[in-house]
Amino acid sequence: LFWQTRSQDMSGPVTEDQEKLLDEALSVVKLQAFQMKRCLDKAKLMDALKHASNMLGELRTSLLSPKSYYELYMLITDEMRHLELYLLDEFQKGRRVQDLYELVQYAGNIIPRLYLLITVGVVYIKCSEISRKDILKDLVEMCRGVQHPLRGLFLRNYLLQCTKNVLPDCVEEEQEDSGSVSDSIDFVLLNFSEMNKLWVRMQHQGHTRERDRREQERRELKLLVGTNLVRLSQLDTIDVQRYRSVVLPAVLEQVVNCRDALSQDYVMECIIQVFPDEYHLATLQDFLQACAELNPAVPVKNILISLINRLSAFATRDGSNGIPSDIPLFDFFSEQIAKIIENKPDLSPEDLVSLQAALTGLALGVYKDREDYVDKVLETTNSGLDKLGVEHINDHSNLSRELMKLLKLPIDLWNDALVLLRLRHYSPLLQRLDSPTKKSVSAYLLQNMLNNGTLVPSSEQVEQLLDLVRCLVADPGADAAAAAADATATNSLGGDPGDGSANGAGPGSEADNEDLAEEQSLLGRVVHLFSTGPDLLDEQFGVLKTARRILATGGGRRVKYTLPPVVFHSRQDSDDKWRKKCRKIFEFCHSTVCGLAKCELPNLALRLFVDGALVVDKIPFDQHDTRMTCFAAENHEPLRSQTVHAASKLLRKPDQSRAVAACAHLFWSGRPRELQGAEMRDLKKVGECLKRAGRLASQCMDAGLQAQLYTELVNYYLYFVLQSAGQSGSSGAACVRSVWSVSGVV
Amino acid sequence: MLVLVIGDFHVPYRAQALPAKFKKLLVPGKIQHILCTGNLSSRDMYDYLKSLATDVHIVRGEFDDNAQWPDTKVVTVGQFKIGVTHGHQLIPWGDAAPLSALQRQLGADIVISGHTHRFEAFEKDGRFFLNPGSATGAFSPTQCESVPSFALLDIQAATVVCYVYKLLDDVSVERIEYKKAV
Repeated sequence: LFWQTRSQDMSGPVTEDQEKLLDEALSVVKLQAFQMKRCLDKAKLMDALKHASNMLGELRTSLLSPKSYYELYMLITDEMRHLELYLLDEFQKGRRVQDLYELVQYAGNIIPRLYLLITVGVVYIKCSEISRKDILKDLVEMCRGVQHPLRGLFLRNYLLQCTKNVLPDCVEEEQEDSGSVSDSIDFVLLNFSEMNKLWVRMQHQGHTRERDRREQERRELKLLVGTNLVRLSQLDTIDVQRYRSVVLPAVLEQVVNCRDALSQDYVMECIIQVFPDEYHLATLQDFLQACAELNPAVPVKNILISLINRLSAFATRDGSNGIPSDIPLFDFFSEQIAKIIENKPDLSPEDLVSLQAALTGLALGVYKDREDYVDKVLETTNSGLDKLGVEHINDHSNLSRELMKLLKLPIDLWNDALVLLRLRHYSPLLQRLDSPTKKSVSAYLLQNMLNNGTLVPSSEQVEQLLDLVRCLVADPGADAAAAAADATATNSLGGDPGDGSANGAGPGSEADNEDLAEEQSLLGRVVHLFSTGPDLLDEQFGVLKTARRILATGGGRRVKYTLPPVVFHSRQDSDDKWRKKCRKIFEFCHSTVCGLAKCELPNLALRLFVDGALVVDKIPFDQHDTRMTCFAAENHEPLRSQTVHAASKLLRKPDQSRAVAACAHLFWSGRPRELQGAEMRDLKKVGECLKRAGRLASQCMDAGLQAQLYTELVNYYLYFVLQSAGQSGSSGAACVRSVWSVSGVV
Repeated sequence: MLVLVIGDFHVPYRAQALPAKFKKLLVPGKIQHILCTGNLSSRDMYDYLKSLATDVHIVRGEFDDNAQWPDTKVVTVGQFKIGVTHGHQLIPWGDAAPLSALQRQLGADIVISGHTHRFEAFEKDGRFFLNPGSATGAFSPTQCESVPSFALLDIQAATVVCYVYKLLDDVSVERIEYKKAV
């Protein structure tokens, strides 16, 4: 288990030596274990103990690496279980061997002696609890006899393993003789501090050249030390009170005083993971105080983040009562983090940001309604970056990634962009990012608004939002144009949205264009969220005016996506009050569309004009000079003939033919005002259009295409024949004749 | 064989997104073909359709930029020739007569058109005419109250079962059957 993450740092020959040494040791162990078990079968206890002692003697080696030593240890402790079971069995049958505890102490060497002593001691405890307290104390004291780090660590680990289920776990009053939980605490704490000392001492043995390898080996052994804390956490009688007054102070004292960075880093993390969240809450100040006293080489940041994340998760977990109100968790942590930042001038900006991100997570998780906390963190982050002299944040740098994570937290946890707009320090922090990352966070925000349907109900908020995501709204440097557009728009509604087009309309690469299209259509979709709701339609218009004014600064490439939504959005409502403003609204739309037309988007502008005219047509309002069905014959007639004329001027013959044929509909379905809604159905003119289309088709050079055009024309004739079938027979017949004439041409 | 008939999204111009309740219904891997009546307006919607099925046929609406998309398209599914057009070219809009004219021109069994933002399905002269309406219920100058809708065709041999999905307060489904004349 210990070696799974181990890197291959040992050179070849050493590995071979290790294998050879280990193999030799293992074969001795197997032989001795075999003989020990045979003696046990024959009930020759003294001989069995001799073989056990020989087997344990293999653990005296200092030649093995921690990995090999661990393998040897595992095999031996496995075999020792036979001895333990035998002794337990004998004892329970009442065949108690006199003075066994004293007897094993005659083993010649200290390592076998202590292993045997532990084994026998635990058997004593398991059979009778009366002397439990003294035996435990004795064992943990005796282990001091081994001061070699590796051997000592494993010996004490054996002690910990064997005593796993026999530690007293009751309060003092109940059991006077067999010990209480405070004896267990003393036992484990002493074992812990001794193991930690051995572990730290490993660092200072041997040549400095092998420092890295030693550190690696120490990392592999850390779980041995941590097991002590696990054991403590398993004692049920340790309540918050006892943890705060006895356990934690002792552990922290040991950790702080050892001044070893590796040990401090691991043990602090271990404390956080092993003990319950309620305990951490009760001892927060002590723990944080200890954090401040650690070796400067310890990455305190990771410890704090780990603790904050755990407590945030605890507060939001189902069934928990949340953080007690008398613990100012946020203040604790923010003070502590401020201290760390102050004391560590070499703290990297990304570490600073990730600390603040953890704090933001805490504020959001535990105090959902305290926007001021989040704003405070953002402010500190901002000023912290200022102090570190961070000016430019490169994309793909760690700092950029950390900052992005921080900025996305409030978006994700609040799901309400309007709250974000109230924060004073969010935008400044966002604007620090380099353009692509800034855009990605902005787009993330907009997408979140769309997912949650966050409505933006006032002009001010629209302005704030578009200012926040300004990297999507316009190119940097378009500020001047924005100011200009602002001025014209406030003077009159006819403010020209095309003003900004000149700076933004550069061609750009294909990929750029695709990105832009994606961003801008996102922005366009968000325009539909600029809505005051049904009761405040008066203000709705103001909201849209604001949106247009700002979006218009985006230049031609952007307004293509962003302004049409403004136009459509403003046309959609049909409330009575809203209708009173119709004139103003149509002027607004008109000027917006004109702006689009100037941005070299004539097609789009044309479509919007036509649609606009159709809308006007539907609305009962006074000044409808532009209505579609309002044309009197005097206007309708020239419009029709102009359309036919324009159709015949198209570039390609087939287009001319098709367009002129389509014009036939004008003379059939057209509705001049005089007819009061009826269609004009001018069959003569229809015939003229179709004939003209036929002539144009006949000039087409491509025979296949020509045949296609004729087929389409026959279909037109057929359409009008069927349409006029209900009318007087003579005109129907005239049409049929025309069909025949075209067929003749074909 | 399932054919999704959908169109007139108008995202971002007139609508912010496809209704979430529709998105939930439309899962990838179930639909074989998509026939789209156009006016997607943005690339997002095209990408979305592509994520539902690989075989996507789109005709061009008046607000589509992509000049590659044709005005009309004929797709053969099983025994059926299906003609698709956006519909703004057919005068008067949404009228049965020009739709019949288009049917004659394409020689189609089923004619699909959009543009009016109003669901419609009818049989005429033995042919089936279908307008799936607007998937987002987008605003239309000719249609004040536009209800989001789309259609799903289940094509088996000579029979088409058309399921119509409309979003009122909740999604409602209607069933229409059409058999090809022998």
